[in-house]
Amino acid sequence: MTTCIAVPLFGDEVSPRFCYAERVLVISFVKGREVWRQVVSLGSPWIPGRMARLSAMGVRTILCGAFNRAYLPAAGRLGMQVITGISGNAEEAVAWFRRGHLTSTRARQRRG
Amino acid sequence: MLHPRQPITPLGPPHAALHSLIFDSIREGVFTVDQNFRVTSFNAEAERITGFSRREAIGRKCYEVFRASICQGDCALRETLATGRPLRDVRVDVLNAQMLPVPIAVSTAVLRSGGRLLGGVEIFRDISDIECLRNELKGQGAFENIVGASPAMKELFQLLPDVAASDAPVLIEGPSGTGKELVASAIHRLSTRREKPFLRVNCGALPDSLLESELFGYQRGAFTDARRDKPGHFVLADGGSILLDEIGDITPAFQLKLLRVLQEGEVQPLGGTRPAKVDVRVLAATNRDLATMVAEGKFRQDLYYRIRVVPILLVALAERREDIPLLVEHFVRLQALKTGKPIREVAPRAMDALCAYDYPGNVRELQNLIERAFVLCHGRRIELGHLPADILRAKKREPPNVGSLAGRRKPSERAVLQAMPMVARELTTVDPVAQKLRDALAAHGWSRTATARSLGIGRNTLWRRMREHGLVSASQGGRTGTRIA
Repeated sequence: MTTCIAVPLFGDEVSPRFCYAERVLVISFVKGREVWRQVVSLGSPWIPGRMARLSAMGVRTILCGAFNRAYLPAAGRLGMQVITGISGNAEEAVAWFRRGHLTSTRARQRRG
Repeated sequence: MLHPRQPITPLGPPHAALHSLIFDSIREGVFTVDQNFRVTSFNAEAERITGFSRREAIGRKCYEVFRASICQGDCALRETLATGRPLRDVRVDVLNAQMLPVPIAVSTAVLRSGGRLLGGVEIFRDISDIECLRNELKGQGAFENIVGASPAMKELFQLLPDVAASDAPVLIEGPSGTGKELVASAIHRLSTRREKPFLRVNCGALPDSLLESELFGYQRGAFTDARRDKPGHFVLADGGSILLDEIGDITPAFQLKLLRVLQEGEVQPLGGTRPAKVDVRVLAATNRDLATMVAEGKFRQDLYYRIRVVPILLVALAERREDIPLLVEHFVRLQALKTGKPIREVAPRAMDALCAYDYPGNVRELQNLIERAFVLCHGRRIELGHLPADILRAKKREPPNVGSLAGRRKPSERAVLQAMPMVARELTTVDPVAQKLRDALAAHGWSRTATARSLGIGRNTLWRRMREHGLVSASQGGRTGTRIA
């Protein structure tokens, strides 16, 4: 099973806000094994454009600090879940996600 | 009478409590950070604005609490700590704990003790009310020279800044005279390309050969009269935007040429041998129903999807009659300035007639009517007699209840689409073939070999389809891709 996640970056950390991250780490996992990764530049902070771009890359989960609530339904319509409330090192966040410790309801536990 | 100055005593514990009381009584949000941007204090108003409690905020990096538009770029506090200079009233927006944007104005200063740098302080106030009033004022009639207060126009005004912020191609559809060029111009003015050229080409007015030389230019000797090089509009608009007006009128042969330019991001002038890279945002406009033309095979589907990343549909004036009085006032003001005539108003019966008319020529026709009335009017007020006969015939029908839905026709499909939320409309542009390709590629980790095999097609065919449906830059993660937006 393929899972593709996107982690907007702020330096090495998870970006505090999705729309203002200039770079996004996109990783694809097949049966839990990482098969592909790339850091992409998204440019404009226009959220629909960013989501469409990530959706076109197959992204189904976004891990970030915060995400404008108004666009959550649109993300859902694109088949993407957004896990917010995450801070700290991006690689650690990815590792937590792979271990199944990051879900929408548990994301807040990663804070701090 | 002056009293001798009292000796100053050092602050003791009771004074610290007093400080805390004052800190929490201030009507501005205040917080302090250490040199590592960790929050060290956070007052009650800061709690109210951000939705985070003091306990949640203290010890965290300030950008994790505020998630402001400047945190990842031009952070005001970072600049103040770096330069030592305070900043005043920087307008930003933060995402509060509910992840809703809150506009704030920020001031910053350095915190020192005995010459030692402790960190910084930020004072901010919620300017939601001010922004709200500003938006109300905008909503009262005009935005970027576009006049209207109907739901369709309010929706458009809300949409334009977002559209302008992106570099995506825009297709503006609507009947003649609805202001497609005005909308394109507003998108350019609101965008980061505003300092660069905005050029308009009427594709319907020119034959292919002329259109090609206008858009792509030519080199000396390309044809008999080409005595010197002439840069095309794409080159002249480099860094800016170009409006391809009446795009529905271009021939199938030229559609293919244009598609190639949009895909490659480069233009080759007539008679030239080397293509030139250009960075131009493409805005297209048409009064024709391109979707039907695509279905009938009269317009290329690949070009349609290429130019219609963000569709904007403008409705006929008859479908937003509540805007007619505003437009009348606007054009009367404009004409008065232009002609110097002392006309300031329109008589109620004349206004009724103007509101009842159907305007097949839309806003342009209304503007012409006002211009005509100014020629005939020698008083201070436009009367019924200054309007043409067609208008007077329409007057015999019941005028609509302006400002309400009563009297309005059943909205057309266009009007319904226009009223859809911006995001929803954006999602309606998803190309089902592209979506199928995307899903297949995603299922195979974007491996073209595996995806082609699963779809039972060759790698080259897959690659061609990906290009046709704009999936190439996505698959390459933005490393390449066209520069023409």
